[in-house]
Amino acid sequence: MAGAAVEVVKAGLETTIQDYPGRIGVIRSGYPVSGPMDGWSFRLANRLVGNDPTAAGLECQFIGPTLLFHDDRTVALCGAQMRATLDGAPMEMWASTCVRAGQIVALGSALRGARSYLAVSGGIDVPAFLGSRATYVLGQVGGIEGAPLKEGQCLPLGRGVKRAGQRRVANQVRPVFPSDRVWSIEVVPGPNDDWIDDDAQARFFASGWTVSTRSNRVGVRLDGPEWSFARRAYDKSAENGSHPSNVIEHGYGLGSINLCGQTPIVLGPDGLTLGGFICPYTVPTGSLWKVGQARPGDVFRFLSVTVEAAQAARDALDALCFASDTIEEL
Amino acid sequence: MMFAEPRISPNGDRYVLIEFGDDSGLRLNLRARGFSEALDKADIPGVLESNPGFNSVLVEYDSRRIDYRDLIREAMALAQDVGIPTEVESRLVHFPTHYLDPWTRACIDEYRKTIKERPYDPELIVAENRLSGLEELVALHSATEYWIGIIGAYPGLPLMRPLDPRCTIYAPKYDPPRMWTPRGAVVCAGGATAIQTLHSPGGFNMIGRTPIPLLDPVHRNPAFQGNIALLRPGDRVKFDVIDLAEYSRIEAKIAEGSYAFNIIEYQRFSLTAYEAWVASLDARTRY
Repeated sequence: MAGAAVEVVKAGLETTIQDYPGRIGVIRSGYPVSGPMDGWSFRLANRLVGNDPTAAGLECQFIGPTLLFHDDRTVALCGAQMRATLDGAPMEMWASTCVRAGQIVALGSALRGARSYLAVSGGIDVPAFLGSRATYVLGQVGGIEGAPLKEGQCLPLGRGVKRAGQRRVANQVRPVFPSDRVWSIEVVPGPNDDWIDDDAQARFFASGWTVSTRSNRVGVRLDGPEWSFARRAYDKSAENGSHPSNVIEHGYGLGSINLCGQTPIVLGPDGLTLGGFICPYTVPTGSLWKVGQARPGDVFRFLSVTVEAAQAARDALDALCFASDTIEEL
Repeated sequence: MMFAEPRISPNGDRYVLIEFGDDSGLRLNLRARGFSEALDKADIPGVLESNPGFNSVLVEYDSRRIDYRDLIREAMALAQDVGIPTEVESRLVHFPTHYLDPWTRACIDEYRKTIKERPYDPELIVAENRLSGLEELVALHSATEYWIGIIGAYPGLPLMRPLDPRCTIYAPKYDPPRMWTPRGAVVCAGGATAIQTLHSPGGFNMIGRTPIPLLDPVHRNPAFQGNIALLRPGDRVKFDVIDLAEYSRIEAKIAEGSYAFNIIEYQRFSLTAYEAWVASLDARTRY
């Protein structure tokens, strides 16, 4: 139905329109990929409502929005636990829910995990910028005027797909958020692991790294022990910059652990496309969802994996998101 | 120095960083950009996109279509075939700039109050480079043309090196970085100069501000020639010193759409002529 919309009653903390995999092929103009921080939960939510995998949905961070539906839709919420209600009655997560015109879906605060993903059948139909509807807040593009949702806005919806039956994500294929808030996160060494010394490499894997409150979609900052550097970080020309973590500007891959002085920052989907700090380690694609679900105060423990193992893990996660037995028809 | 063989390191499961050398001179920059363009043209199945740095290229690939070893083999073969373009298109773009401006000064003051104590950025650069004072910093920084080696970090942001080695200044980076920087801030770190295109975090030292916009995502401004970013790699930038009153006049003209961008299009840049000129200079002298 053309002109259909959902109205924002409460915007939540910073709720943005995102799509998967985001804005690709434009890295050279300096635009980051954007898209959901937890692509696993995001993709499952789209499948529950019968959407195309590229349909846009909402990323709800820490405090979710309250939404009034103007027509009948199927919705699904996956990711961080946010006490969700439909007209005041509890709404099941990881499952599809039919919403009637005039009903209100309200999300609460994230109890475990950081980001919840709300998919609506038909998807959120805002104009694409450079091939994606993903909101990039710093660059003020994507979504609606490049900004998080605002109270009173109407989000245009795509044509409602044929009503899907009641569906649920099978228990064993949902991401697990650790109850002790200690995450085990894979990293591939490189590209600049030879700039830090053996002690720093040992400390990196032996220590717990605490997620800082100054973390967001641009980067997740970590607090931990001091870094020490190898000779290569000192024996360099002045144009690198004076600090051992400084290097002549080079491209940054998504998930790079970017060492800014003594502050490691895991680069997120709205992160810098390049820069002049070393990246000793990289969180691979299949583990990025953990970084997206970590809350300030959570602890990261890193384990080293090979390029090939990281690729196999990414392929396994993608296969799981598409597998037929991932979604149970009820 | 250019490496005898490019150095290759993985950057996670879907990128590799290919480094061609360890300085940020023009030859290496043209080498990296030439390779990046050749990689696009080669259209190797599974190679998704490439992102040049000053002396390196970050390549994104899909390991389901090309495995790591095959990618390296193809990239190294291509690197051998591709030469260095010695004469390239290069526009000259003028940026009226108010050095030592009140906005970046206020931003530094806020950092001091909320993050940690630090010197006023231009004074720090004066001390680090043993200059006579702020006037010499402004004179040196505005005396040379700058070469745009790469665009990125943030949308449309030019990362540049001074073309006249006698104007080289070095600056440390912020630790920790600032949470925000005024749009249009002219910033320096390492041997590089940049212009902030957005109100965004930053780690470079701030020395001035230009009212000229560098991004036009909605295609309102004909000076952008249909592009989102005003500048591209291989363009040159010249900073022209203006005072606060002139800054305000230009800002008003931009707002009403009557400002004429100063972009000079007829020139080409010769790497060999440039290198011969640099070799003839005494780099220890200041301009």
